[in-house]
Amino acid sequence: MILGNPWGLLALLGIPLVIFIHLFRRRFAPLPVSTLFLWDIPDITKHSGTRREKLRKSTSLFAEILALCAIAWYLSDPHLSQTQQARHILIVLDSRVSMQAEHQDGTSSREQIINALHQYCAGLTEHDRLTLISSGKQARLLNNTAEPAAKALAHLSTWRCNQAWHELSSAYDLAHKLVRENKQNEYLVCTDRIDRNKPDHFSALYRGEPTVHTGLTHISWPHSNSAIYLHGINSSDERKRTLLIQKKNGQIIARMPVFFPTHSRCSFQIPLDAIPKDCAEIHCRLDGPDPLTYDDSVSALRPEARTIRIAIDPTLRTLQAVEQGFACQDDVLLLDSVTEDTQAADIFIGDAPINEGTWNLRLQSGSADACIGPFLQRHGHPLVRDIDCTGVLWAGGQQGVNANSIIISGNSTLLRDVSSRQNKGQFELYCDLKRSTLSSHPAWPSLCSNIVSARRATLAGLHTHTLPCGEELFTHLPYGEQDITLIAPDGSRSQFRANALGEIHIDGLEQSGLWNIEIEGQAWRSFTTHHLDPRLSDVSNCITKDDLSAMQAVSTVERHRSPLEHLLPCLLAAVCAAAAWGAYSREQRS
Amino acid sequence: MPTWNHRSVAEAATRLRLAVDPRRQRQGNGYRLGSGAGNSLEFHDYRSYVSGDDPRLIDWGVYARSDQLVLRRHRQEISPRLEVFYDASASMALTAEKESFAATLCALILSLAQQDGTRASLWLCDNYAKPIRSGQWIPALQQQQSSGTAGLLSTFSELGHGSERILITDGLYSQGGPALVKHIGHGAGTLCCIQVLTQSEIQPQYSGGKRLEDVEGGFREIVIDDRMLDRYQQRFSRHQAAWQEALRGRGVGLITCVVEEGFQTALKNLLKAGVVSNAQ
Repeated sequence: MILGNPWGLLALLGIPLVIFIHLFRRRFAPLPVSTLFLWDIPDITKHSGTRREKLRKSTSLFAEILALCAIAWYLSDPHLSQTQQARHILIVLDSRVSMQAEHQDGTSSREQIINALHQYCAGLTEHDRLTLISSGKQARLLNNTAEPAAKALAHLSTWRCNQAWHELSSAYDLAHKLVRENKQNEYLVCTDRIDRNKPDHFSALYRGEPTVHTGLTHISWPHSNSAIYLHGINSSDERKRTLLIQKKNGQIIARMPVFFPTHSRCSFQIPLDAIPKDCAEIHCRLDGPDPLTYDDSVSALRPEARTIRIAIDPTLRTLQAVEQGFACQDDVLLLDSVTEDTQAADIFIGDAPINEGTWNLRLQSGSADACIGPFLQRHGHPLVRDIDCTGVLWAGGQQGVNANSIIISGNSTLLRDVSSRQNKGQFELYCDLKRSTLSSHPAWPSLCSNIVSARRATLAGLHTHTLPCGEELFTHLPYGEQDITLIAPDGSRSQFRANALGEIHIDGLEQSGLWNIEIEGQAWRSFTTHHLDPRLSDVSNCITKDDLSAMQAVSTVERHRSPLEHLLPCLLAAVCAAAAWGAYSREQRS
Repeated sequence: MPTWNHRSVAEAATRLRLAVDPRRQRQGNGYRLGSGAGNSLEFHDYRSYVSGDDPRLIDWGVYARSDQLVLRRHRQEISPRLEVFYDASASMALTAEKESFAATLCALILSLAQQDGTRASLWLCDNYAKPIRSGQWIPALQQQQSSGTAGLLSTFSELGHGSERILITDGLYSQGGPALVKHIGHGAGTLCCIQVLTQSEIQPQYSGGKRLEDVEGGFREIVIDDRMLDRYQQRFSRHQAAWQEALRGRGVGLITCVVEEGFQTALKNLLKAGVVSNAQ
């Protein structure tokens, strides 16, 4: 027999209390009289001087003791059968994509974990309970908490190992939150590698193999369109493999031999001239056998061009410095104000009607006296980053402007920001370029570059089109747009709203594959995510072993009492209490 | 607080009166005969003639028979006070019936006194003796709560010398009747005791283990059997005999009224004892 709540036996402390009361309570019923002095009562002197009398074995005494025993029985929850003991094991399952790695026998780490769990759980009783937790950035349950073992193991089929690199700590935390209060619980983590963050009270089933392999760990295709950069890892001796570059339809565009040095990481480039210009998406794959295939291939999307279109007021075209200052910038297109629609410009140089979304740099002479730099510059403003105006003869300037808008000032305001909440990127440059030496100073192209860079940072579109799973994506919506719909590779949809600056930070990109963004039902942009991570590809600390030292196999007691088990002791206690009361009343009357 | 049937008391008061000395004729300075010599018509005793005595008081018949000059003395006429001592100790409230019965008897005595025109006073004795003014007797009786123990043994102020005193009590004092009679009867003309008892006090019928708790304090646990009851009866009889002996010569003595026998039986006992008489 075992007790579900041994503390319930404290109720038995009432028995000595009952005996104590019976020792000292009055033996006879009280009778009020007025003639006590007429009764011939012998005066018995007690040698000890106490009022304690010999304990009378009365019916009320036994009934009260029996009632206390019944209460102690109910509170202590005795279990007559050993099989009512039950264990509760919380199992954390590693859901990272590295669990797909195939061992030499052809089975993956995931399959081996499932087999190992079935073997282990074969030794559990029908009363034992399991809780399965799948790891991830946000750990989740695979089954209802504390399900019978057989029923819980059936949910293993829903365990998917397709997540990017993440720590298992969120799963550990979830396991701790799910435990039953004041009960003993056991914890088990199933993974392919040693986790240094594993709590000591967690046991572990490791099913990993430190195999020799090569794989890709990162890919980036920058906007500069200079090349596609790949990173790889090698856990063996030096090895040569062939990198296949394919179109989306599988057509091989190019083959590149890649060399992986011994036990090290490496990087290589794919020149863009190897990629047809009409190819928006490529697929890179390392050809040849490899035990871990999940890091042998990756897709990348061609980044969209982020050309800044600049229109210059025709009256300012005569100032060569203006045109040259902007023409020398990367990825800039100067619009011909005569033949092209300058309304579509990203930056307009000169006085012009304000178009929504167009940045504007107004050039004005100003009336202030000339001055020589260096000048005071607003620290941290993107327009004055890395600008040194030392030696610049600045003719022009404006007096009496709002100090909050000043970006550069000398003896007067030289450059100021007149942007509003509704209209960003409005600047006024007070400088007579003909009389100043600004346009022939290095500060001038730097200033132009900063304007272009600042504008490019606010261009609508994605800042990257290929990124690892779990990384945050930053996007800027077109002027006037606020809401987007994000479609995941599995087809699920989410809504996002931009902030006041038209920016959206998208996180939670856990699936790998192609994502699409729609604005008002219309396709707008796409990007792709991948699982590549050097931590996933590094299998040096993968092992296969069982560490069950923390599994104490100590059971707790199932508190599933039948209605009869509830009713019987309570009924007995009530009957005994009533009998005690009746006996006491009778004793008092007699 | 005791309650009683005012109608029964009033009805009894119409047909009863406080008993007077039957040798007294009628009016005078007083309406009762005193114990000393006075000017009433009732013969008191003879005294030898001494020079200076009133010769009109010489009993010439005695002289004719014995050649001795003696004076004939007559009893004095007095108007004595009636003082009622009501025991309001806790034992008098052993049961509500006992308390009401005692208060009824006290109310009757006071009503008769008022009817007679007697100068009466009431003393309520619980923890101490409280004099109650005339006109406040009935409210005081109705509101009194029997408690305390030693009121009858406390000091009384302004007791009338030679007064007629009636003690209404259960007489259950461990010190015994003589001590109480001596204390209350000092300076009294007459003293009688109307004893109010319950049947269980006279003849208890208990048996088995009991925890006897005296209402005036103290307790004992005993097992009551026939022997215990016999011993109780003996002690009770001795106690009663002591009361009677103490009251002998002071008046009509001890009149025991049993609560369970009822008010009418109590009146018969009082009539029989001579405390009250019929009003014809």
